Amino acid sequence: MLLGCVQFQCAQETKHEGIILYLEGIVNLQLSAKTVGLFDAFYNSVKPINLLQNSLELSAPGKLSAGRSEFHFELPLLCKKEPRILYETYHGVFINVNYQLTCTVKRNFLGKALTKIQQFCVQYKPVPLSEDSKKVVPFSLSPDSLQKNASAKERLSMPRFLITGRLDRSEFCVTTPITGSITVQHTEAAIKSIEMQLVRVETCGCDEGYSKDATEIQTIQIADGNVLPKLELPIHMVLPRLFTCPTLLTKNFKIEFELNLIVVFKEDYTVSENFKIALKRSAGPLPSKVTTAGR
Amino acid sequence: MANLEWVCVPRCYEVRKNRLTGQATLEHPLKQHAVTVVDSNPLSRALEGTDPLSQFARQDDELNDPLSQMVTEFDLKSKRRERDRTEPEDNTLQWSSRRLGILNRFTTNEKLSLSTSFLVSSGSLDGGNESIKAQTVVADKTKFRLEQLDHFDDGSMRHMMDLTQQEYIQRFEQLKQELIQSWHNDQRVKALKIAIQCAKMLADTTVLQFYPSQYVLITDILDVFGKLVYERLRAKASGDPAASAATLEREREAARDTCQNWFYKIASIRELLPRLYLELSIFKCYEFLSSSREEYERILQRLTHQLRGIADPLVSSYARCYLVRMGVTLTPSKTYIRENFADLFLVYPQIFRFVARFNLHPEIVTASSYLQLYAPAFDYMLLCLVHKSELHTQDILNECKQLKNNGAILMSVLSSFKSEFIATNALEFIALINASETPGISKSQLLRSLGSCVSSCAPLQEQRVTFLKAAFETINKLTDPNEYINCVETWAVFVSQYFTINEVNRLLGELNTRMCLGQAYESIILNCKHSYSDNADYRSIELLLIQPNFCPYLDLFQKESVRVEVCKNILSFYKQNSEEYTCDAVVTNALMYLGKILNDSVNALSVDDERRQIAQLINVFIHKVHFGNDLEQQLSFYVEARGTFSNLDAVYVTLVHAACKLATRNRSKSTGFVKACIAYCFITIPSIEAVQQQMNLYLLCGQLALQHLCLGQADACFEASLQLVNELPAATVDFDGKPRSLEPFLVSYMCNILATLIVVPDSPEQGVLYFLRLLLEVVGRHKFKADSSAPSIIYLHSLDMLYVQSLERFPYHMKGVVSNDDLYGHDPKFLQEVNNMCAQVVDAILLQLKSLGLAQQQGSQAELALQLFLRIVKYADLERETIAQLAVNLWLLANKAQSQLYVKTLPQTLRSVEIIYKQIKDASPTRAQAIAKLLLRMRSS
Repeated sequence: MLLGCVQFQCAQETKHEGIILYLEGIVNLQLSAKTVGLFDAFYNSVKPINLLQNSLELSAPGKLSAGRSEFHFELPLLCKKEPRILYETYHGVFINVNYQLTCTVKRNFLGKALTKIQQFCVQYKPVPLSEDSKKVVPFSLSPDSLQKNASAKERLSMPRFLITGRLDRSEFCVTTPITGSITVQHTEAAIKSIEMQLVRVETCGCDEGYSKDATEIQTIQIADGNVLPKLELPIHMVLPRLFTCPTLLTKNFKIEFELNLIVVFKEDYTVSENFKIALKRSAGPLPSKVTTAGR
Repeated sequence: MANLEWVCVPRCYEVRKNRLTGQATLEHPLKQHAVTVVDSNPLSRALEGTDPLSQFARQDDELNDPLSQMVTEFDLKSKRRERDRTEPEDNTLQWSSRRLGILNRFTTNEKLSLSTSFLVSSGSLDGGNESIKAQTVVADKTKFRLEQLDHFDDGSMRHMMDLTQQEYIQRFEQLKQELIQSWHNDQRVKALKIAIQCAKMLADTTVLQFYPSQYVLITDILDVFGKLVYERLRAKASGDPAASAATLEREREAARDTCQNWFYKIASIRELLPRLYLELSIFKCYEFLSSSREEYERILQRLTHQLRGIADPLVSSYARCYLVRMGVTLTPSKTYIRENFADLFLVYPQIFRFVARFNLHPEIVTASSYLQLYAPAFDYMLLCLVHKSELHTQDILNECKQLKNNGAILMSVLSSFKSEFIATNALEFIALINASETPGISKSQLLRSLGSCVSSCAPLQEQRVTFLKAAFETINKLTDPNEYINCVETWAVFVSQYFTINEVNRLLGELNTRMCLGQAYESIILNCKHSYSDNADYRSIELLLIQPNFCPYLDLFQKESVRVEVCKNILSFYKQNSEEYTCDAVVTNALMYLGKILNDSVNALSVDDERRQIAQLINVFIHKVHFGNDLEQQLSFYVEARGTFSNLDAVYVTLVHAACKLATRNRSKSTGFVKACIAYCFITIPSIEAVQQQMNLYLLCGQLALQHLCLGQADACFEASLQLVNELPAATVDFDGKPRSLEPFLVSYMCNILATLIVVPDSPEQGVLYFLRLLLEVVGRHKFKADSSAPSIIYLHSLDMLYVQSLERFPYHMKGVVSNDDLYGHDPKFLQEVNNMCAQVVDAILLQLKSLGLAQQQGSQAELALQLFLRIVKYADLERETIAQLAVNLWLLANKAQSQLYVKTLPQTLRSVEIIYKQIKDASPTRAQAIAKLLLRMRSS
């Protein structure tokens, strides 16, 4: 249920032809130019999915008295058709889940209608993380573990190193930081930097022309310089609120998140390891209820 | 030659002394009274509160207006609040006190390194930038600065190197201003950007020596930033005081939210170091999110762990320091500091990998100065750790023990830990130090700081000896004389404070042998000076002085000026701290030795002040030597002193006075000792240069001799003093930079001697009133300034003296001395002599009158004439016509210059003559008649 109030402040009595409130929730999908091609990207953009559409007449045509007048309203937040669920608000590169409330004041044929748009956020109710997601995810990096993207010859020329670590869990809550640790066990070449990259993977469309794109959200440095071996370095990444949401898998699109551990050596060797992580909402936003983006 | 017949008349009236009546008082008459005006207006009091005018007036006094009062109150309140908040950070943990120290300490180094820095070419580039900047308008300036910041961003830090220290600091100051300005212009993102960029610069260690200062400068900016954020959030959270509770709650929510946003923003900073620094800089703001202390500690611990990611040990050490600094303001817990140290100890070996590298490349930075860079951070962290808590001290010490190359941390431990703790674990520390083999930190440095620790708080009594032994085992192994002396310097204080004199002696002995070994030591002997003055803290300096190693120790100071300085120190210390008297021969000898060194240092080139200082020191010493009742020994000491301190007038003066004092202490009947004393004085006085001093002292000795009935010596003294008059410089002497006439001195001196001479009996060899004759002769020969009144005054006083001689009984006597009145028994022959001399004196005065008249000095001539006139009236027999005539003439002479005299002078003279008349009217009618006659003649004229 969306509760609210529209306020008008009029200098003098004003006539109007009705005040209407529209509620709208849309998923905008866009195919990336990279995977589908520029032409398709422009013309084949997938149809937006309507999650919510509702309207409410606050006032029949009439007059607004001078001074302040208020209209309190209540609107049900319910998705009646498929997918029967309201996704969390999300702003990505190719996928946007957006909710907005539009208030329109119609006026006589001479005056243009006045509109005011207010976006609002939708968040899932917190659900506790599953038990088995609390298991630690260990990992290790060494030349041998990098078989996938390096030929045998390359591997031979690589300096020897062993980096181990763990993520504290496989599922994370969007409101708590991602934690874990990493330890450089030994390395031949000096390390320049160790970074943790948060990546979103957005998949649009289904069976036929689907596009899957991974884009960086943020990178956080964990180690600067050639850190002491055998020293456990903590991983601590606060998830940016605006660019993350719980992992979302639907028929038409998917929003997933991955972590990349990137180790940069002095000679500009870069070694990286990819982790898939699932984001959930297990706790509400921090006690505060108001979420303004202001500073 | 006397053409005047003078006859003295006996005094025939009682001499009365009119004493001033005294009054007992409780207040000093010259004290300034604080004027307190009491508002005693009964009206205003009665009408208090009702009289609007006076009320306003009173209010005005108390405060300017209610508004301003509110403002001040508010200020006070907010200040108090401020203070409450910052309470945990008391003085010992104040960073600000350290920051200047760091800036100063690591500045000088930097300048050197900059001058040798290799990138000179870009200097011109930067200079060009500067000139551009000068031309740009203000708006462009900001842009320019940001561009410059971007320059820093490029990693092209090198063009900072050619900035001089000053420019560098200025630039940071600019950045700070920029930050504040953009903050207040609502460009908070820009402010944040500046802060981030500053924090980034902390990763730059290209100029190692400057790093601590760089850290201070940058953290200053971060502090400013943190404060701005915090203040704003606080203002937001506290909201408008007039608002309702609900709005307040909402405001607080908003503040929380904003705070949250800040932390989100900072959490997304890419680089580790700026992220951590920024989070720390606004660490205080966690207060808005959570108030539990555990929460702070958790965060601090997380940050501590995150800091492990910084590889450079220097950078991470300072980051830890910043963490601790921010932490102590919010939580008194020490666990996170402890964890920091745990991590630090893990990284610690890393430091020495760098040290090893710098050992190979000393041109970058020497190992020891590299380790020095860590000191401020370590010191501060340790200080915070042990502040008001003993919990972790032992842990740290134990971990120190395990650590390889523990010198650097040990150094900081020594400088930060409470000296009590160090004292109780002194033996452990010394063992640690002895075992420590840290490159870059020498044992001497460690020993030095340990030494200064234990000298402020000593270890347990029973441990001291072993402790000292252990310490000196190491100290004695030091081969570099500089190091050796540095150590000994601090340890000397400890030894002298807590050990017996024997230990001090041993220490001095060791020093001596060390010093004598090689020429190398000579260069650093200067340092010894300090070690000595520390040594002088010893409670009783006498004990020190009697040590056999003491004098040889002094001989170590080969440079004359240093030695003199040391001697001065000792003597002045002696002056302040020793007991009142001393009679120990060894002490006196030692002091004598010191004094001799000082005395010998005085030469013709010495400054007056120097001379005075030294003389004063020696004088104190002389006064302090006291042999009790053994007067002979005292005198022989004075004789010795005279022989030793031959260069100092003031010392001689003191010696003469001391000898005189000694003479008066003689209780035995025999005058032998007194004679010896006076003889001593008599011999000593001529060696004094100042004639005035000599004269005074002769007079003093003469009087003393007279008192003790040593007539011959008294005569000799008086004669000598009178002979000296001619040696007085004629006109003026330079006294304290101002020319001053000696005549006032001479006059008063002569009066003094005349007063003494009254009781001096004539010596049988010299004839009647030999000294007076001598005096007159000397005065006659002395060259006075032209028109000076000095000789006439002396003559007048001689006349007084002569008159007293003519009396049957002198007004005062010296006990036991047979004066002339008893000697001659008012013999007419003697009286005749006196009269003759009076006549001579009057003649002389008349001559003076004449010369004054010739010099057109009518005023003083008249005064003199009146003086003489009065004396004639009082002393002389006016029945003789010649005398009476003289008196009248003098009166007339004075009257002639009436205009130049003080108005009342003549009438007063007249009156005093009348008084004399009244006084003698009954006793001697014939004389009274003569005076009456004179009065008539005076009036008629």
